[in-house]
Parts: sequence; structure tokens; C-alpha cells
Amino acid sequence: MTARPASRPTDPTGPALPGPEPFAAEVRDVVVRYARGDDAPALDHATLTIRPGVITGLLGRNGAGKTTLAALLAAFRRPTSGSVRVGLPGELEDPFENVWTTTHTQLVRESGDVWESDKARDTLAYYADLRPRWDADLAARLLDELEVDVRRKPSEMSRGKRSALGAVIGLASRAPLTIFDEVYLGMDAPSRYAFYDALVADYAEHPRTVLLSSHLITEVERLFEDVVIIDRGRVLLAENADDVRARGVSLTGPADVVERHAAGREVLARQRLGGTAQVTLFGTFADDERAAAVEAGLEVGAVPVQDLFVHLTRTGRPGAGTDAEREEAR
Amino acid sequence: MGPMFDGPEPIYLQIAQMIRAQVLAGELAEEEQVMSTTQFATTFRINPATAAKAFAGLVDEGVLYKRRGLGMFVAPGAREKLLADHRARFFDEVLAPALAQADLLDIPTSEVVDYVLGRPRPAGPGTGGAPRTGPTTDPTPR
Amino acid sequence: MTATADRAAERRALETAAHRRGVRAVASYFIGGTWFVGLWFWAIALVVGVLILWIMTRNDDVSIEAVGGVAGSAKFFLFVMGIILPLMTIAVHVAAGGTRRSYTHGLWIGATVSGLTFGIAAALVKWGEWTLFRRVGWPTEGDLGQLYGDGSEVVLVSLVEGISCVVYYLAGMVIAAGFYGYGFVRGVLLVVASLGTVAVTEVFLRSGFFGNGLARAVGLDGTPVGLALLGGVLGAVLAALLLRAVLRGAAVRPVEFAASASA
Repeated sequence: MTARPASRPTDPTGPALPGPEPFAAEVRDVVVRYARGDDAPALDHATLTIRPGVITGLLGRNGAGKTTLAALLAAFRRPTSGSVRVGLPGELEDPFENVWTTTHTQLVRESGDVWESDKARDTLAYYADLRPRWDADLAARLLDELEVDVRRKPSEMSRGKRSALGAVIGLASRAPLTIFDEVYLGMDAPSRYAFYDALVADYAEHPRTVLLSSHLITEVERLFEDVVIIDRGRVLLAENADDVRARGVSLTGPADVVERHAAGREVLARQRLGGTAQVTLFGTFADDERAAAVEAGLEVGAVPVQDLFVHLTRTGRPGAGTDAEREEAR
Repeated sequence: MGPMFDGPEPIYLQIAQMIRAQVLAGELAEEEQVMSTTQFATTFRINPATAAKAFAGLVDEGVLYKRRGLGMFVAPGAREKLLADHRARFFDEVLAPALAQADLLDIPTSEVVDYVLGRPRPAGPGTGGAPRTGPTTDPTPR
Repeated sequence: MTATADRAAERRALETAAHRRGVRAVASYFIGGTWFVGLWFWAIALVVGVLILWIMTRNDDVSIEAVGGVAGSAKFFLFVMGIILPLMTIAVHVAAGGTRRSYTHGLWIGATVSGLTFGIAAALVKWGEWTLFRRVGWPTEGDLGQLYGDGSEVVLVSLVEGISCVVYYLAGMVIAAGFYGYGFVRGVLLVVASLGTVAVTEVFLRSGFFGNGLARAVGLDGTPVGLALLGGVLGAVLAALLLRAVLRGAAVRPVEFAASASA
């Protein structure tokens, strides 16, 4: 609707600063209610830690609380109760109205917060103005690669192009804490992979803390070092991605042998092809159990994060994946 | 583009196995530099830490070694060491299950022996004798 | 020890620079945006004013309010801009790492500069009209009592119109921020509160129809010019403080809202 005057591309204080180390984040016993007396809060006594310098996957079904969690870390809102802390490891602080932390935290919500009816380059200029470590070259390169025309208004772009614009903002900001909340929406597969490639490359070169939420788990799970799964406002798990994968096990081999080893366990999936069966089991496999299965001629494999996620967050399973239940499954 | 590490094992184990296989096959010569973790991560679209974990494991095994400031290189004697490892485990981990399967299928031992004896043998020992294990059948050393 | 002190100083410098960048970005967006649309406002206002004047001359009943009245409606234009612009900018500002504090300060500067320059524009239009009327020999006194006598008092007209524009602009912003951050009920209460600040300025400045009537009703129509101007500024300061209070804890709305606000 309005045009803005050409803005100064750089800060008078000089070129991009080296900037601080990757940020850590901690959320403790946080409750967020959008309406008073809401008995289904967006976050329900959530507690978790985000390790610095790590790419963490934030997984959850629609409405699980991912977006609310991201909004808290980026100081878009305050929690109803509990504590939210962000910053250098060992020096965490409340991010709300905290110039230091908000300057170093970038949240990209879906297709990004942009001026819909101004040219995309006006929005980029605004971010470039405010972000001390904005990399204009990286932005230009990515915009070119993702075929985003900055002379167009976001309101006239396809969803995919708008998402690509948001992805570019997220990467070019080089913020020590960068959060991508479902930025892939509407992006086609080549664009998504271009984004993942750019993320990995830039992360490797400029280590920072990345929180990435997505429903396309199989596509992104290999990018994660840590995984957080939240469901109905509660943190189901927050741990290393390999540990998550180890929460399940797949057994392949002769059907009867497979069934013998699967007995008494929670079976997530079962496939049969003639005499050969594959079962996906929930619950860790102890070393001796694994050895026994291998001894019996079974192939013991890991389980895709996607399968475990679906299991853990299945509807009608309140408290799914609690320790008690896992104990029971043993 | 190469392997996509779609196997059931943790990715870092698959990466380690891929590099082992390349060393065994001679695709990676001793003292040759391997890709950096960054190159690895971007090439295969994985977390750099995952690649670093694989490399760390291979350094512990003595397959790779680190030259400060330069990167990772294949250790001298790595191939010989891997061959020895695989040979040591061949009977236990490859042949024994195959024979167990033969029993299951009621294939008489004599038939297996005939097959082994009648099988055309590839070139001299030590060059082509190594089993080319795929990533999914990796007998992971502990 | 010195390393820690250096780090603290470095951080303070960065925070100050970040705050300034944020304020400047918001202010320049608002000033630029207001004048971008504002040029259209002034163009249309002049055309409408001249049209009214032309109709008046045909009826032989010429009044200086023809163009001046339209120019005096600049504050209502800014009131509407104040309601629209914040809804589209707060999320982008916070997403770019800006604070509500720098946003608020940017709005203050944006409203002040836009309002005062609009005041100057209104004064120039009124002065031009006054000059024309004097040349032609039409009556130059307004129908409505004002703090200023006629369009020749350019500085006073600029101040009166400028301060009015600032308070209306800020009041619009308070209303937008109120509904944005606090929903319907508290939003409505803030409409009342923001109109209160407008009333304070209107009463002191006795600008136009409402202001004059209100001033007479509360017995402030005799306030000396200097005090009256200070009273007008008081209304703007109240609106500015109200805006700060409203924005201080405002939560950024979900993306669906941003999409609907600017669609």
C-alpha cells in the first residue's frame, strides 16, 4: 500500500560485526494461554533446552505448540507463566524487550513477516537495516537461486516464492539463534532442497543455533542433530536425533523368528512378503537383545524418525510415550 | 550424487561404512585426503556433526587420521587393517549365517561345498578377495 | 576484569546502535509512507477545495473555509493512517529483531515529523488562500473561531494544525495497537482513552468546529495563545504515553492476522 524511501543499506557504525557465539535457549515450566480460563493451553508446563550451535528439529502436529514455542524464544510474546531464557551459554536472559537477544534472534514464520503490498526489496532493506550481521551477498545469491523477483510484491507472489523469500531472510540474517517455523509451505521440491542445501552450507560455514520445524520429517530429519517433539503443549522428548531413532527398532527376517523377537513389544508397523516379515517396534533394544536377534539371523535396523513421531503423537493416546509406558513395553 | 544413506542404520555408521568400503576397494588410497565434514554435509544434505561423528569413529579405528589445519586423510595401512578385520569376522558374520540359512532351506552341506569348489575364483588373493559389503550389511565393529 | 568491562561496553554500544537503527527504520517508514499517500491527499484536498470555492463563487456566497476547511481535515487523514500503518508494520519490525520500545520511539518520531510537516502544508495552503482572498477582496475571516485569526499567521497556523495532526496520528496508532494487542473489549476502551487525548488538544487549540465548541463549554476559550499551544502539546504527550503503555507488552499476532491485515 505504501512505498518507503530507499533505506540506508548499512549501519553507519561499520560493516557486519563478527557477532556473538551461537545462542542457547531454555524454556522452563512454561504455560501459554491465549484466552483466560483456556483449559487447553498452547503450551502446558513445557520444559526444554536448546543446545547452542546445533540444528534442532522441532516436531509436532498442527496446534501442538511449535509456533507458540518459537514465538516465545523470539520475544514475539510472553508466556502466561514459567520462564523463557535465551542467550550465550551460561548467560541466558529473558528475551522479551531485550535488544541484545532480539537483535540476535531471527524467527521466520511460515512465509516470513514481510510487507505484502510493498516490493520484496523494501522488506529486505528493512531486515538489512536492523540485522547487524545481514549478508547481502548471500541474500542476492539465494534469491537468484530460488528465483525470487525482489521487484515484485509478496502479495503477488506464489506461496512458494513467498516462502523462499522468508527462507532467504532467515539465512541472510545470520542470527546466532535462527528459527524456521514451517518455512517450506508452498515450496516445490527443488526449492526445498535448495533451501536445505543453503542451510547446511551456511550453517557449516557460520555455525549458529538453528531450530527448524517441519511436517516433512523424512526430508529434513538428517539435518537434525537434536530433535524436540511436542504434543498438545507438552514436550514429549528433547534429545539427540540418534537417540530418538534408537527409541525404536526394526526387525527383518523369517516371519516366525521376527514374531518371536517381537513378542511382548509394542508393534508400530508390520509388513509381510511371503515368509519374510518386517516389524517396527517401539522401545529401545538392549545390546543383548540386539545380539540375540542378530544371532537368530534377523536384520536389526533403526526406525525413521517419522514413524516414531507418528506413533508418539497419535490421537487418542494421552501421555503417549511416557516413561511408564515405555517401561511397560519392555 | 552417490549414496543417500537411506539404510536403517544411524547415518554416521552408514557414512563410516561407505568410507571403509571405498578404502577397501582402493577408491580411496592411503594418504589421500577425504572430503571435509562441511563438504560431506553439503554433498549429502546431512548435519555436519553427523559427518564429524563418522570421521571421529574412523580416526579411532585407525582408518583415518587428522592433519592439523589440512583435514582428514586415509591412514597408512588402513586398507590392510580393514582387510584383516573383515577376514577375522568373515566366517562368523558372513559365512555362518549363510550356512544357517542353507540348513533352513535343507541344502545339503555337500552341495554347498560343491558350489564353493566349482566357483570360478577371481584374480589373486588380496586384491579382489575382499567382500564388497553394502552399507546395510555393515558388521559394525564395536 | 577489563575483558569483562570491554565486553559489557561492546554490548552496550551494540544495543544502542540496534535501538537507533530500529527507531530510524520505523520513523522513516512512517514519514515516507505518510507522505507517499499524503501527496495524493493534498492533491485531492486542493482539487476538492477549489471545486467548493468555484461552486461558492457561482452562488455568490464565498467563505475562506472552502479550501481551508478541507486543508484542516488533514488530521483526520492522519488519524486513519495511524490506524492502518501499525497493523502492517509491527510484526515485520519485531521479526527483524526490533523491540517494541524502538518501534514506539519510531512511531513517536514518525507521528511528530509527519504531523508537523502536514501542519506546515496546511498553513501554506491557508496562507495561499488568504492571499488570494485578500487580492480578490473576499472576506478573510473564518466562520469558526480559531486560536489564530486568519491565514496570514503562518507560524501559528502551522503549530496549531501541526500539533492537531500529531495528536490525531498518535490517537489512531493507539487505537490500532489496542485492537492489535488486546482484543475487542480493551480495544474499545482504548478508543475512548485515545479520543480523550484528542479532546485535550482540541480544547486547548480550539481548532475548528468541535474544538471551539468544547473550549467554550469548559471555559477555556480565553486561554492565552502560548498556554493554549502548551495544552495542545499536553494532549500529544498523553497520546504518546498511552501508545507506549499499549505497545509495551503487546504480543505479535499469528501470521494469519498479518495476512488478513494487509490483504
